[in-house]
Amino acid sequence: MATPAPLFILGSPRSFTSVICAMLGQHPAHYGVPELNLFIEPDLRRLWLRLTGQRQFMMHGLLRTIAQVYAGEQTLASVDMARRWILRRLSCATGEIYQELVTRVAPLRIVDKSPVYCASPRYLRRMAETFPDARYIHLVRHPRTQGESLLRLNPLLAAMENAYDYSTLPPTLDPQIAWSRTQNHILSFLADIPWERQRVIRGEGFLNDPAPQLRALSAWLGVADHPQAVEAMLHPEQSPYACLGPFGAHLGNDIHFLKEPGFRPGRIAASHLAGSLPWRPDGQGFNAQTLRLAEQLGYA
Amino acid sequence: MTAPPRLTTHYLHPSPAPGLRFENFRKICVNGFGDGNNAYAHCMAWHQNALFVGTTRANLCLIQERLNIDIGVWPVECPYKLLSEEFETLQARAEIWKYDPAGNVWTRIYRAPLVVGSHGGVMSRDLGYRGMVVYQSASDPEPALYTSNWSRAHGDGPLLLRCRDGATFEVAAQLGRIGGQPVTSLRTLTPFKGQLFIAPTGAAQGRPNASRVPEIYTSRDPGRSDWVLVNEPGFGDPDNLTIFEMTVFADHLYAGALNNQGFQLWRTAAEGRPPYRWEKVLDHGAERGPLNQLIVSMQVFQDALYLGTGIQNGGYDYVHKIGPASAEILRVQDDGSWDLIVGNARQTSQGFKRPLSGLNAGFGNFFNAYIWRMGVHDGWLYAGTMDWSNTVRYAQLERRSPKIRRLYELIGVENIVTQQGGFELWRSSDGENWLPVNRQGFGNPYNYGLRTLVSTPQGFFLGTANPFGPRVAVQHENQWRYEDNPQGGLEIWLGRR
Repeated sequence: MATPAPLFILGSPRSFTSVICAMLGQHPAHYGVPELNLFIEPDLRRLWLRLTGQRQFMMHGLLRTIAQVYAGEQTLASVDMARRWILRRLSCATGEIYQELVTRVAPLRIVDKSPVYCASPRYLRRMAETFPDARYIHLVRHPRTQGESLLRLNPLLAAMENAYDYSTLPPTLDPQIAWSRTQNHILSFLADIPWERQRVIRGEGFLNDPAPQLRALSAWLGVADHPQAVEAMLHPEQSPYACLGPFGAHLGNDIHFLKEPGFRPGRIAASHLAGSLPWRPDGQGFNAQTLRLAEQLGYA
Repeated sequence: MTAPPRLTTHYLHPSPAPGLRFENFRKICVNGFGDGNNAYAHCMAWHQNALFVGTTRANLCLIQERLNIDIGVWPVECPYKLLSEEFETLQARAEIWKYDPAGNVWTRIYRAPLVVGSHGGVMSRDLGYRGMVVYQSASDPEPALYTSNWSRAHGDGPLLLRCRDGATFEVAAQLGRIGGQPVTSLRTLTPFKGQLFIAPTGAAQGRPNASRVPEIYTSRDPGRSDWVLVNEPGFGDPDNLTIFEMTVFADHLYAGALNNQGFQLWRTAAEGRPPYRWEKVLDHGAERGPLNQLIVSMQVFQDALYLGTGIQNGGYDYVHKIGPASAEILRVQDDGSWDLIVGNARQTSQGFKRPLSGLNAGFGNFFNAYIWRMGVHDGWLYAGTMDWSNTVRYAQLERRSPKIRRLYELIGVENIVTQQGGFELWRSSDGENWLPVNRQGFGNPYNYGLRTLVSTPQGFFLGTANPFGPRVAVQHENQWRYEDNPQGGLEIWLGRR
């Protein structure tokens, strides 16, 4: 049986990654997963030890996936089973674990969007080494609305990404710093990936009129692009992961998406690069690097 | 635009179809069909669109008298002596019940007759029905229901009953004395290549599981053609005491032998003239030794054979001083290689084996003495246990070692019974990853075992072993009294989504 390499969605947090990943994952030939976060460590033991305490929520996606794939349900009992599954594989490389999941869901293709992968070139390299044939979607969002969304959700998330402008005293919390850093990581990584295995998508345009883009992506991925497939992808809420999981594994994705996972057709207004940023008390706008990257990625 | 794919999302979905959860089951029989003496749903089969259940009765009263176990307070009231008129007429007569799912109706269609025993008194011919199978013999016009009895020490030995019309039973074969031993019961009836294979399981003199006749017989037409011995007794090993379980896998008949050094597993293609050529697959209890004294259950699932192990007499063989220990699940491939699925990690001749499920013996529960039965339903493998924790209530803890006594005192016997009393039922979609359906006897701690599992088009039927009726010992301020037990007697459950 063919085991298609995964489709990875690379993007900053708050860049529509949850909903678009879930949409693509609903294609009949795909299998959308929650955030697996596997590639942040080389082996499962280190991952297990790292994702404890406040970070344990980062294991939820993996626990939910194992529970669903091996037991067909996400319950306390199946999550317990998933923990046993993990514990007896602690000596395995995370790449082996990912490969086991890929084989398990084959012939479906895994669609994964763990944003943490883009935080470090090491994680991205580990991904590419494990799956030399993987495909990538570089999903971007306008740096202004992305920053606003991040701060609206929780400024702590920006702080955790070290999104500070250290040229001011005191340093200014400025999400564009993290946005630029992430885009640089992704662009540097994709520079070594053949062009036919990558696509850039601007989230706003995609969600404003998803059907043609879903058809185009299906054709690029070599899967059916008929109306039923597109219709299936317009219903991300039908994913088994598009809801809160059981106690101890309730997340695995953006909590807002989990609470309201449906695709809501509408118009996402265009934003602008010029002018001051609402989160900067000094009234400054985007810096030169952000402007250059934004323009490179198609934002005028 | 490309053409629509032929395969649907459902077909490709990698997750298994949902398995049965506890809430998918409903109880369709309580209190041993209204008689707490019906203790074990000892055999069960689906035949002619109905469910048939054979019972064994008053097990704990039989054990009290025959096995001379002194555990302290006897768990149930045994008002009558064995072979007394009252015992024989009120408690001993085994029954066969039929369930019509369409009408949700139970009917008792057979009751063991009263006969005159060798002691000169009247007795029930059968204490129970231990084996049941649908089989078509050479003279059966269509598949018929065969069941084996648990006969009496003062009786004529085990027999096979046959039911062709779904309503009436006749004696198809009287086996009499087998192998020079007072054999009383057959547990395993296994059709294979047009023949019915049987093995003597129990014998009189308090040996319900170790007949000491480790022989397998076959007949193409029970009652009309002779029973032919198909193996060298004990497969040539005098330590093999009984053939306890058999099944068919990969065009072979597999037989598990009870052995105090650890079970042995043998197989034959049953070709040529008997005795057949047999090949040993496993020994020494899959290298766990005596703690895997016997194979209690076998089940084929996804091209592999699963074995459930145990120690006779509820996980502690007090005669041979084996145990207590909890049971394992092993997986055997056609080539003889095997995996430890549920069990204790160990070094073996095939390398170091860890339990692939991540669960130690007994699914991590010390009290799970047997994997009593396994079954397959809607793509899931189910395993039911025998859990003896409930019997701790009646044990004389002062006879235990100070360490054990202290442990029980710290945990609290009632805590053990309340938290984990009753059998466990687990399920797995791939044979390796298991999750519990229920770990508390389906809400009744007196359901100490799950004895029968039958998959049918109407759903998944479970039959329990619950010998704690009709009256059970209850403690009131250090005084024990026997009281009616509203939770005593076997139960039948039906699971479907």
